[in-house]
Amino acid sequence: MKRSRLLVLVISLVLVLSMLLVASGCGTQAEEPKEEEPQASEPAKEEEKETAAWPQKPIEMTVPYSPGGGSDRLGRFIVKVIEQNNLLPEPIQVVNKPGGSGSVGSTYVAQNPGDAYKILTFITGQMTAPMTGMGTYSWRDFTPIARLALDEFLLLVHKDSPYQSLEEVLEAAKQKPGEFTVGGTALGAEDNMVVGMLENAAGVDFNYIPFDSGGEVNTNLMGKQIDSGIFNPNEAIGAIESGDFRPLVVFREERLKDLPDVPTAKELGYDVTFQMFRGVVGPKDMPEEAVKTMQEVLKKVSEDADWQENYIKRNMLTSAYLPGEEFGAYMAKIEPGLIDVLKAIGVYKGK
Amino acid sequence: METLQLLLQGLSTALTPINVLMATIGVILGAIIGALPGIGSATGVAVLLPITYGMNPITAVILLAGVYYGAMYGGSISAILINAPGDPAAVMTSLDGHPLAQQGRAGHAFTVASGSSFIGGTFGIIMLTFLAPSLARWALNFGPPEYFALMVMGLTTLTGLAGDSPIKGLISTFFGLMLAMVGLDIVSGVGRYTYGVLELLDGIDFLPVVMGLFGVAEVLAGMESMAYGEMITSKVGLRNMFPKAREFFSLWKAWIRGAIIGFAIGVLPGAGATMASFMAYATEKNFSRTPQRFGKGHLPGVAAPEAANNAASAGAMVPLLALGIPGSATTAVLLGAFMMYGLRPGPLLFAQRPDFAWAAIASMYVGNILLAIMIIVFIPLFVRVLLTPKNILMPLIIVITLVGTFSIRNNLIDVWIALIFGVIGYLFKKLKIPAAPLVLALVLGPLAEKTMRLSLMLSQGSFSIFFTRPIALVLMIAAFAALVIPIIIQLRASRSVKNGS
Repeated sequence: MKRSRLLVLVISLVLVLSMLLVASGCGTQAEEPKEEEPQASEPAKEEEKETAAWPQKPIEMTVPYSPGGGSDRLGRFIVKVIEQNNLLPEPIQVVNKPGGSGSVGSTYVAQNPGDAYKILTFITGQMTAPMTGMGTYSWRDFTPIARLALDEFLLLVHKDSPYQSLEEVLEAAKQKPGEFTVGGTALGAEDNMVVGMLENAAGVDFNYIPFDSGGEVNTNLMGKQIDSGIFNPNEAIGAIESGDFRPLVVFREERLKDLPDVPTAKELGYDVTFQMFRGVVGPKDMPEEAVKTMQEVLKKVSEDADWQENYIKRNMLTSAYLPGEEFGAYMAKIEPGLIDVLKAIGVYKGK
Repeated sequence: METLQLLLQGLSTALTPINVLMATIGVILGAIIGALPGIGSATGVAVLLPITYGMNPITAVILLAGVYYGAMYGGSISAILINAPGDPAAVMTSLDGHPLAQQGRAGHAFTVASGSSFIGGTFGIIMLTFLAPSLARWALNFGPPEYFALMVMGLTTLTGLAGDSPIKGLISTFFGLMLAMVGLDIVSGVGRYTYGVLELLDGIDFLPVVMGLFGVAEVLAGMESMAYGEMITSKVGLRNMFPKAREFFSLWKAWIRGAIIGFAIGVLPGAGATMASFMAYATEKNFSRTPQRFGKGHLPGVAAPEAANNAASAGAMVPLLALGIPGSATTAVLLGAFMMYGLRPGPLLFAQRPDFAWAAIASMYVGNILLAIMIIVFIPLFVRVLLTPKNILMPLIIVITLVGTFSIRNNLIDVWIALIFGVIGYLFKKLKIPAAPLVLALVLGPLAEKTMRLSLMLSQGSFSIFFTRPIALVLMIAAFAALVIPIIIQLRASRSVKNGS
């Protein structure tokens, strides 16, 4: 019967589409040329032989934050560069597992020690999450693969704000302790740590307001609901260029290339530098071969022209590739400082 | 007029073959994503993002924006057909849409839903075209205290949704508020009622709850009376497809109210289409002379929320395009996309890249027309789903709902939440407790709490902040009115009934 045939068609269409969407929801896989690998040049072939043991099946890259966030952009851009340049013989898929300031996704990967096919985007906030009581796996429970970039922090005020410099802000905060508002993302997040470090260095007490996202801080600063806000440069550059926001200080060793007029806190006499790292890790005891290969791949990613132009430069990041062990040493080096700051802002619940 | 000229220029870009093609692909994908329970437009846009990297930014944004507003249309499809809203913004559509389908009037529900979506969406885009910059600046007056007042207003309008028994409405509301307490305390960072479950730190997401309360519970209830080979309805003849013109156009008041409410709420960053559709439905019911007909298959109950959620999705583009501020999860993903294309979203976007901003806006006019035509053409096809025997359709609904639920965060715990709330939803049905207030309380509760805590941090603990700021004060008064007016109306109605008899 005509009717039943139509029905079968509709049902199967719905089913196929739902499967397709779910599959792509689990990891995006743009249709990339897959057949052309054998035609790669001879030296490439030899290289392939050396590393032929890994990977033998698709790699899953967990992004422990929602689609659209900074880590999501990192993960998806890595995949894009790898696929464009055929850096891996097997596909690599992004899977978003948000929750608990990154600890849900971190835990998922940490629970599979020795797995060579589960990797994880890793940022400063995931390192500090277990120190504030979220999740149980410390950064030492992962195999560092590579650090890729560093992100900066700026203190901004609205263009109508009476405060022209960091000094004036600190003076205002001194006069009314606990009243000068600084907007940032969540309690204990990187923004909160920067504010805590500045409070320590300058001996002032701000009123830190924890919003949910950089977008919300942006909205509230533009609406003059708060006196100032902490931002990553890429979150605020549009409003800085239009003159709506006035950057007062950057918490970095040297001035930013794109904002050469903004002084560093160090120049102004406050030894506060804070950078947020973005990198990739694997679970504990990840096979050495897999770590090595992935390190090489990520090194190539970080040297890629498209990556430098469209990821690093556009997001105003500092390209900062560090391979596995050095990445681990870097985290060990910054750990005590992070603990001190978390203690100072009163969210440290570590072991 | 300069605006019109810019819009026409935008249209000439939007109407090039490649852009029309992308808009078509975008809205079709969006409608499918919206119709599938669980996968929202935010995930849809994020998943499509890498495919657009090589494209011209204008073309790419036309595609992605199409997915965004297409999803608003699509959400109503599954809401009406199988009572499993594909998107939280479509929850209200299911309240009257599904009863209509059960009465054999699914075609009417679809026509009204897509017609209302078109009108709401188009109204939103017209407002976006002419008023974007000034509206965006106005929305900035909303700080945490104003949002809190808005949330209070949302919660008090719930009394209008309560169904037959206000007590049962309150039970549902307070249950929802209790669930909203789960998760991290934003001030102290302490996990509340999480029992060590990591996934509960962010609270109970309302999507799995919606999937359970509506989709799963619907199936459980349907199993009670299931006879082999039985269908939901057999009235799918072409004559039953479209409502009479007079009936359709008599909905104009619902459209106007829905579109205005939807757009106003959509412009506010963070409030969103879900709240817009709830408020529009509640308002419609409060204004109606026949409030008792809502929830049983009343066309204005479909028209108002559909007009509202589409106007809201256009409204959410206002702060995005005018100020570079994301007002919803999906516009946050779009913001990230803009940066990937080398644009710098911010107050200068219209000035620096007028071609881009205006082509995006113009494409929304095109996309809305495409969507309305497409949905109406496909109505006879959608309706045939109802001819599926229940013993085949019900398991399908369960599969689609649970797979969709898993895909929200790729986490099994959400599937368990959906199943648990399926049972709770079934009990609610048996006890005739309305489920919609629970969902709204779960959406508004965390926002209300957060904005109240932030307000009190801003004011150093003084509650006067809610009553000394003009907008907050007006909203607080409106919230009080929303609580009291229905009671007065009810009293007056009962008195006039007495007088009449």
